[in-house]
Amino acid sequence: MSTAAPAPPPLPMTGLSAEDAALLAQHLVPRSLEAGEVLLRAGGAERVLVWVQSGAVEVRLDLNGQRFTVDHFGPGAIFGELGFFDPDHVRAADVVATAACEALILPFSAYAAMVSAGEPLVVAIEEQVLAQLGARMTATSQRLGGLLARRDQPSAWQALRRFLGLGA
Amino acid sequence: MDHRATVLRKVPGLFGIPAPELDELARSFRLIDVLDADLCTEGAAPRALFVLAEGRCEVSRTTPGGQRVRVAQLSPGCLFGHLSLLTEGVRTATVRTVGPARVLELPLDEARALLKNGPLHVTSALRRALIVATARQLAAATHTTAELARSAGLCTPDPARSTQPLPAVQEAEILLADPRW
Repeated sequence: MSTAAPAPPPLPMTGLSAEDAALLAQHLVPRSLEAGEVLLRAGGAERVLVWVQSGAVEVRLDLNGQRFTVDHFGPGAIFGELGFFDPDHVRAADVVATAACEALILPFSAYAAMVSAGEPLVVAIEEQVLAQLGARMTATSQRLGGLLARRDQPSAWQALRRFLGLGA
Repeated sequence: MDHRATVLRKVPGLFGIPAPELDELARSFRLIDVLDADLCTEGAAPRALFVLAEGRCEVSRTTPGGQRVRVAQLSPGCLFGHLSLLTEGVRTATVRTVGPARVLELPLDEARALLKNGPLHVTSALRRALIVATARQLAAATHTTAELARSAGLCTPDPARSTQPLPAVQEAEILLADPRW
């Protein structure tokens, strides 16, 4: 009785040619994480691009001893782009699985080889990263704008001090 | 080497691009000298992306309360004005040169045409530069958001260091960055 090889994980990108799909599958490294497991750690400089296939991760940023969740990623999300494309970048946040998670990892060496070979697949990868970055930038900016608006509103205490001539 | 190519070589993300392709990319840009000029104007329609070659620029924006605040200072090698390639809408901040400066300018419609029709080594390099510039800006904005949330008392100190979720989205605004942006 022959033992069938495990089916390869589904690719994180659609609309690829058969050649590009095969090339991408060849370079992706699957990784399974349990809830609470750290996928990428602050201070690290490993150059990997990560697609979430299933489950969820969150990005945790430490600021003077306080820890903030600054982003969540679910299936289809891609992250790690700054460390991947910027050789000078040192990761500032942890990326932690918040549920059992399946991820696919593209090492930078594989991407660099594809760029050198002029593989059209790099265009699809870069365009997907840019599209998701644009969406994340918009969401972050909206959150930031809300906080700036809130900062502009004087607190009741400041208003009372001004009313009493005590300054803000 | 073309001075424009020398400038582009300093742009993060433009690694490993062979000299002929870098020269080709450089020829798409126009080198201009400016003095105390607004290159991007908050609220205006975007028309170009820029790379600061020499001098410095200040990024400012108007808060919802009408206050004008400086949010970043740009140094040579910075790519800016590029978000319009990724998102819809008007400029979200004003970028003004401080004193004399030299910048590379690429009209957005030409940037779009280049990304669509240019040779792969050139377009890939340009996309990498756009990714790094945007990702740095996003990282800085995320950091600032966390700082603002903390200073606004929206996240209280937690001795157990458990995670504090940031507050929900409230209204549409955009941009903030740090000095290295």
